[in-house]
Amino acid sequence: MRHSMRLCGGDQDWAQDLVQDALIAGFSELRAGRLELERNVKSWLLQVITNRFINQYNRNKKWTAERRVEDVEAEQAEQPLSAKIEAPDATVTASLEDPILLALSDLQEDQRACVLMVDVQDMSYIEAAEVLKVPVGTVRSRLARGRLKLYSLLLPYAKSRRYVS
Amino acid sequence: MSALFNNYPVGAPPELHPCEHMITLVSRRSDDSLRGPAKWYTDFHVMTCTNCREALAGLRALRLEIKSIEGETVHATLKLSDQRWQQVRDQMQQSD
Repeated sequence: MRHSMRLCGGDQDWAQDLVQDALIAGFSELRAGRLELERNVKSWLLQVITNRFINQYNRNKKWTAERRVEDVEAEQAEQPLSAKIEAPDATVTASLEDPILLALSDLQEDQRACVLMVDVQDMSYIEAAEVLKVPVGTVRSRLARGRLKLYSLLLPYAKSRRYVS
Repeated sequence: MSALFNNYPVGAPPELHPCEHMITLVSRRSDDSLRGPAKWYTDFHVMTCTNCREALAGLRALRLEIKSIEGETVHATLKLSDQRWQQVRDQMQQSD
């Protein structure tokens, strides 16, 4: 992952896609008996990641190496849990609106759009990508992070309401 | 709405900390959009990784909860920007 992040100049989504592709390719090779565990699997994976990065870079002519990891992390900094959910006097607000809707409103807009389209509207990843005019991989990534964020926003609320122990 | 995480399989839902490189794969597995080697790999990983197994169960439960808001007044409540909603409407009209 570190190698991939460096290659992608801190573009976390791109780096994750590369690592996933490499691991899936490795798993396929292993299942097909074309990759032996005696070989240096780590080197093989790093090679696959690097090759795929070069291919994608050449294809997209997209160079983001000047982006610093710190900048990307700052962009993705999580917003604080909505006070509307956790504040002691929030019961009024919470009773007026569904907590899921409140939590959704705390997501970054890009993530929220993906969650709404795929999970609520039952759109496919491809349809969502077409609507948002972004690559399918970006939809997958935003959706995954949006779902995790949503879960983490809702968990304290669920516990406070003693829905869970 | 239904009680949050009532759909969680067993016990109280934990914090989710899937492996960094598995985040999108686990998410896609939760909505059954994975196919082929990616699905096999994810299933294999989830079998051996407690964190990712918990994440998969949690995300599946979450998806069921999210479905419960279907039909509610999403537009008015969620405050997507006007530009984004216009984008969605334009694309919907084109696909019609």
